[in-house]
Amino acid sequence: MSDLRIPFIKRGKKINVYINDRKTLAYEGETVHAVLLASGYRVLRKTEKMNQLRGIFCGMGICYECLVSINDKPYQRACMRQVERNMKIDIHDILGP
Amino acid sequence: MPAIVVIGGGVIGTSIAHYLACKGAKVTLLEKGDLASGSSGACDGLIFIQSKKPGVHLQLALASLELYEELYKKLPGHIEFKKSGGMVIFETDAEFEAMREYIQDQQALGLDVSLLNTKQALKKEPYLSKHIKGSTFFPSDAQVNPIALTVGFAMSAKKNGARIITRTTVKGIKIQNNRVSSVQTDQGDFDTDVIINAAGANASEIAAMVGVNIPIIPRRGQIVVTQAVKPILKHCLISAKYIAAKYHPALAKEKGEGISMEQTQNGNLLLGSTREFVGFNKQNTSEGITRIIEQTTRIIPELKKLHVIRTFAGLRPYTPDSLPILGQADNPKGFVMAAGHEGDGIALAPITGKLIAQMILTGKTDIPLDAFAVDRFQLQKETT
Repeated sequence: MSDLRIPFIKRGKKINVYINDRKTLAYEGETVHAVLLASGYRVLRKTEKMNQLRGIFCGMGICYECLVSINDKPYQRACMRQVERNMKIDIHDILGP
Repeated sequence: MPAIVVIGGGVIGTSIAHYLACKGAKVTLLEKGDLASGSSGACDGLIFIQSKKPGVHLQLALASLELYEELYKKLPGHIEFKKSGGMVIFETDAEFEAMREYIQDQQALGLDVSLLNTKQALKKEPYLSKHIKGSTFFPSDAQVNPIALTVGFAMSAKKNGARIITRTTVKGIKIQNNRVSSVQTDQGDFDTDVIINAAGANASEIAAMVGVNIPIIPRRGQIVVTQAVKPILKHCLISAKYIAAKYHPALAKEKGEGISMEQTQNGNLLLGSTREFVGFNKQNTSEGITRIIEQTTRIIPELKKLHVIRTFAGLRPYTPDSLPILGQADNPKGFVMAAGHEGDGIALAPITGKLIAQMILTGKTDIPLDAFAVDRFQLQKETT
């Protein structure tokens, strides 16, 4: 699995989070979307009508594109939450047909 | 052909303008804000037939539904009309029993309404909570986009020669020889032979300008809008309490006002509603929003996962007998009422437009409008 983080940066404590049930390295203080990007996840969902791929866009909480499930709560903006120890992050289509 | 002014640019006013213009009448529609900036732009799109009072009210609703089929093809734009079918949900055995009789009456009138038990209801609507006791099902209940409908009616009227004038407030009405002669607005006067009062919640104010006493008062209905999602609801839903609350305000106070749910074509759910007499206050309240969310998520638990993206409230024009006021006033001549639909405006807009146009241009209507007479409240007062 990738770790695309820039090296030589002082980071918070190492913790584990779970992305689609896969144990993933994260650091305290990082946002969920930063962890996703660093771990190589760029596509977060597909659009309703045309099934187009979506991921992070504005990165600051106003576009609502980076929606993921956090601890089984769907439609959370990944860029607006910081990771916590053992956080469960799921990338999938909610309420499918 | 008489010159006609329609006051009010909501579903009712624009529907009347459409039906008149299509018959070649000379129509001017005056709207103080923008099209659908009143109740027609602050409601849900339910066309619920099965909940209409048996009798002429139901007859009107069925006739209106038929007109929707043509309008869907004929009006410009997408009015998003869909015959999704409707279900009235019961949460208690008492509600089930009360509705059983109501349904038998409807079936006796030839309505294809059925009573479903829990299992059958869940089969039709898989996201329903398992605690419900059952529901009704009527395949002809439908939904539409009320704003698209209003604009569609207006554009069609305009195409057929009507003048649609917005941002123009009616200030007064001139009468000459006991007949309406002109409408005075902040943009000038409009000479006219006929005035149609389609001002919804503001209809009393307009009627007062010609000395006609109309008991229409605003009744606030709050609505909660969710994010757009993949289809959850297959049909339009209302709870049994929602129907009861309309006809028995006292019941609404103690047992709550019930809920309605619709999923629009775009995927948003419109969850309603309250029925509050608060004057012309269009604010949402935390009590109203909370109650709507509590009751709708109890019936469709999946809703708990969704974000609420906004709320709004509309003022529905209430009348004491829950029937609209349609027809000519005795005095002055040429003053026509077409308001007071409270909660039935969307369903009855097409038939109201057609019948009022018919009445003005031919003097007769396909469906008699006696039950909706302008002076019926005065007469009731006089006989008591």
